[in-house]
Amino acid sequence: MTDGNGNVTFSAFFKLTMLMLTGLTIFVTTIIPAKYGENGLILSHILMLCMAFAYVIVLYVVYSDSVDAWTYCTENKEKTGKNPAVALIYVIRMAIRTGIVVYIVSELSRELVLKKYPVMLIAISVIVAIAYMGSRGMGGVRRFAEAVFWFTLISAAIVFAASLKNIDIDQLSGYLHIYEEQGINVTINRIMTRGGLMFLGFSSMEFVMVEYLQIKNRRRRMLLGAVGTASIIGTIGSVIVTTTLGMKDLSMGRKEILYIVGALELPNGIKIRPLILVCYLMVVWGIAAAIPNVACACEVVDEYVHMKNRKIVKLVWILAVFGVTAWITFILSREKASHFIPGYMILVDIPLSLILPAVALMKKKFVRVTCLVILCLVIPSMLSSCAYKPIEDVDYANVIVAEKGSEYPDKIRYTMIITELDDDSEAVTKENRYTQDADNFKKLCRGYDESHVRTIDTSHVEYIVVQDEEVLDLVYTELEHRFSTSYVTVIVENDLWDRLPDDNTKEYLKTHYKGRCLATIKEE
Amino acid sequence: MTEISVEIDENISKIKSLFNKWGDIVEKRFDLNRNGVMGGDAIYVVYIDGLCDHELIENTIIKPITWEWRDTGYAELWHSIVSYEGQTADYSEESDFDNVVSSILKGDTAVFVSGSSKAMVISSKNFPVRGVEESSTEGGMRGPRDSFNENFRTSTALIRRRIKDPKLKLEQGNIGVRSHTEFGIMYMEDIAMPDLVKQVRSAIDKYEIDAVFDSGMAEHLMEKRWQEIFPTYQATTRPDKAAAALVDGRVVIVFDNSPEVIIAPATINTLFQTADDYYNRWPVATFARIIRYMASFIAVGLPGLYIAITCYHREIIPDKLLYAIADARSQLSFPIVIEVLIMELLFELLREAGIRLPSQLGNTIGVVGGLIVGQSAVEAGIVSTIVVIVVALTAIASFAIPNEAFASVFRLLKFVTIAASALYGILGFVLAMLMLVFHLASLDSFGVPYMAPIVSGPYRDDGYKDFVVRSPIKNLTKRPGWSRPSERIRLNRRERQDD
Repeated sequence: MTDGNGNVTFSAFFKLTMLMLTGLTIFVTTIIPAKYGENGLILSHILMLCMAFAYVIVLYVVYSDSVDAWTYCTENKEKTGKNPAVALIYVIRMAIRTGIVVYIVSELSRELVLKKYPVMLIAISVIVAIAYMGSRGMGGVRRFAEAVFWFTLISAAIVFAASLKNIDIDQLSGYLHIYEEQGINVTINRIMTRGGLMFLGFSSMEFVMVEYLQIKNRRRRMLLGAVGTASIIGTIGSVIVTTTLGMKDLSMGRKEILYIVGALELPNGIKIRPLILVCYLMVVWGIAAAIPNVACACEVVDEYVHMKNRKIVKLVWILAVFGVTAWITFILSREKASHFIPGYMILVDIPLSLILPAVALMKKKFVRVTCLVILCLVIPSMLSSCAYKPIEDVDYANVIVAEKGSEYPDKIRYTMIITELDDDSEAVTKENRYTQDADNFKKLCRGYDESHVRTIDTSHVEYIVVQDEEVLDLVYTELEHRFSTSYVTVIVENDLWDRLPDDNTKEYLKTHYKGRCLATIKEE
Repeated sequence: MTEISVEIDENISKIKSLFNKWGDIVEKRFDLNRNGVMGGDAIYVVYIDGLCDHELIENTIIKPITWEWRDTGYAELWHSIVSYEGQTADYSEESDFDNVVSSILKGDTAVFVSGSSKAMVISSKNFPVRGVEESSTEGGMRGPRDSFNENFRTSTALIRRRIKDPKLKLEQGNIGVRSHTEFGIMYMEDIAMPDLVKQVRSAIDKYEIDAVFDSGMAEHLMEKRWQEIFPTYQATTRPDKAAAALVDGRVVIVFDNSPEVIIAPATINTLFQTADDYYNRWPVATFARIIRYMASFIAVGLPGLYIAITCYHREIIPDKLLYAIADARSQLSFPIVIEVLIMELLFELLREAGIRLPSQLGNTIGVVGGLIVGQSAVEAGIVSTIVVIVVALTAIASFAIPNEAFASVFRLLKFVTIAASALYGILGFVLAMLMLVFHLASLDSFGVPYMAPIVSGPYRDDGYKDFVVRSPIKNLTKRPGWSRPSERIRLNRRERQDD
């Protein structure tokens, strides 16, 4: 927290820095080489860190002249007379930045855990959370970092330890190569213009710097220690993640956060996935990136707006954040957003982070977001929650068999082996089979849903059996995309139907075949 | 201030007028026989029947004054009574009529003497109170069994009995314009931070209320933020706990008519501690604390987690368990959220009914509610057996949290996590839990972070030694960080004489 004079202790600064930078480093360094694998992980990462440190140094130069860097928006009103304008720009900047962060966090959350939810519905929950948290000011943010630090560390350690089992050491050498490089200028340009998540890293760096400036008797090594440790841990984490995925998969440029999370899961992860911990890490890192913006914006509002109007102004500010998120979601497509976000960062946000404190010095507190808004959001959302499928009203497919179509050779003949609840009390389950020729797996599922009372649930598929390699090539792309988070085993067997038992197919496959992991077939 | 008249008749008429239609007021005028002359001087004794010790009044006031004065005369009546005749040390002289009335209302006896502008107030309180009994809410396997009762003086005495140190201060006062409830702020003068005592004092003086009937009312008045859901004071019925808090540098506030004293500051750590943590061996105490922290997570999160996993993320569930849940739910009509809410509300209903009913019937309600209604609900297809297990575990966990006020908040917040999980699955659950952690982290109690020692305060502290792990007593050498830095050391090893 702070000492008696409101100065930040090094311990609190260290924990806050770790929370803000570690996760972001993992996301950023994993995703940038995923898109631009030719640059190599190490080079990309070093360049990114160099740019970030350069940014921190520039920030330090700008802020260090302030008496109280954190409060540059509210100091010396009388002297400059320009502060209301600066404050307004500052608050707008924070709103846009928060909106972008909310969009990124919501998009990641959707990919990770709530695929069927629209981004904006998730964004509502994130905005409510960060608005409440930000209302407690930067003191609350620091304390939050201290409170969750150890659990976050333990969670990250468990997740990384789990993913270590999946690491392909042979792939590690691929990361060390810097090949087909077209020059550092090109690399920087690529990273800066296309590395969307770097936005989070840079915005976090700004808060790390202003927090550092509040440490009593600070030393440069404190900044170096905190930022360096976070970066090293983040780098190790990202190496683990990307090594788990495999270099070739990354260089395909198609790997998204979903794949990364999939790789973080335990081997044979259907039964023992640390999904909750992964979700926790993502949310806590996302929130750590977002709430300082809210806290700072609200402090400025508290300073400039009369007590009576503060709540209204803050409500408008929150609505503005919501508006930015909605604009990115609805107006910009995902592809355009990946251009807009870094573009905005380079052209507007980073320059403003240097220009504003140079023009004036400022500060102050926050307010709560209205309960009415939460209520209005919660009630319709609660009603919408009835849309989920009850656990007992679905059929669970365990095994998928794909072979050439019998009647239509251009189609694939799919068979889903389904475990159903048995009415007979002696047996808990019974096995059922559903066979159909279909253009693709999606149509097969749709056909099943239309022809049955219960819908099909493929979350527990563990085996895909294909007739031959040719069929595998035909179905691979779709099935890999569909089962990207699971370690589904692929078995190639020509005369499966002669060998398969009538019941307990999954156990038979488990005991009689070794198979290959679906996620790694591409690199083979 | 209303002055006492030297004319005793005037005082008598004031008293009679004030206590008009008071059936339990006892007042008697004694006309004194002085040197064989009757009616010259008089003594007027007044008290409230039921609040006083009759025997004490008879022996120490009425008998000596009336009997000894029968034949003896003195020039100055008041002086004689004060110096020679009042046979008690616990009395005071009052010249303010309002204070005299206030004392009478508290159970003291007032004696007016003709010709004097003062009244003698003799402490004769003897309320009908419970004896010192075993605590029914904070039991333990080891340690003293006594607990506070509704008598203010008994409560302070139980603490004094444990700390025989002149540095233990007791600042007394009254709160409540009509109830005149006595309270006392107790603290160790050399250990507690002066600023903390000052803050507690000003918190009590902040409001003027008509009546305070329990420490709970005062506690809510003294809180900084009325919206706050978590208790920022710690209430206890155990004198040993209060005494331990005092030597840790905390402040104990005792209220008359309340069997619970309140302690400030309070942190999550102190609210999870029990007195017998320090009486048992450290591994046992540590294990108990781990269980309590786990219980708090279960109490607030288990139903939400169950909903999140079964509704949104069923791929996490192992196959056999998945089929078991699906099988258990196959005959039910309600969605999982409604099912959980029904059972949780049913449990809260049973709990509330159990508290209101006499203790003999309370057990019956437990049996009827828990076994018969639960079983019937499962058989009727209203809820599944899995949900009964989840709700029962949640209920048991909430009872494992030692502080009732604290546990109640967890029971309430459980519904928030249920709603969040129903809306957003694991994401909602994680968000709700993080908001809870954020809220707790940003709270403080008299400047001490509520989540200390996880969240550091504006002081140096080695609070981790007495956190989830309770270090051996030999290692607990320092007091918590909120005590005075000069008195931080509490355990020193004595050098042996023969070494």
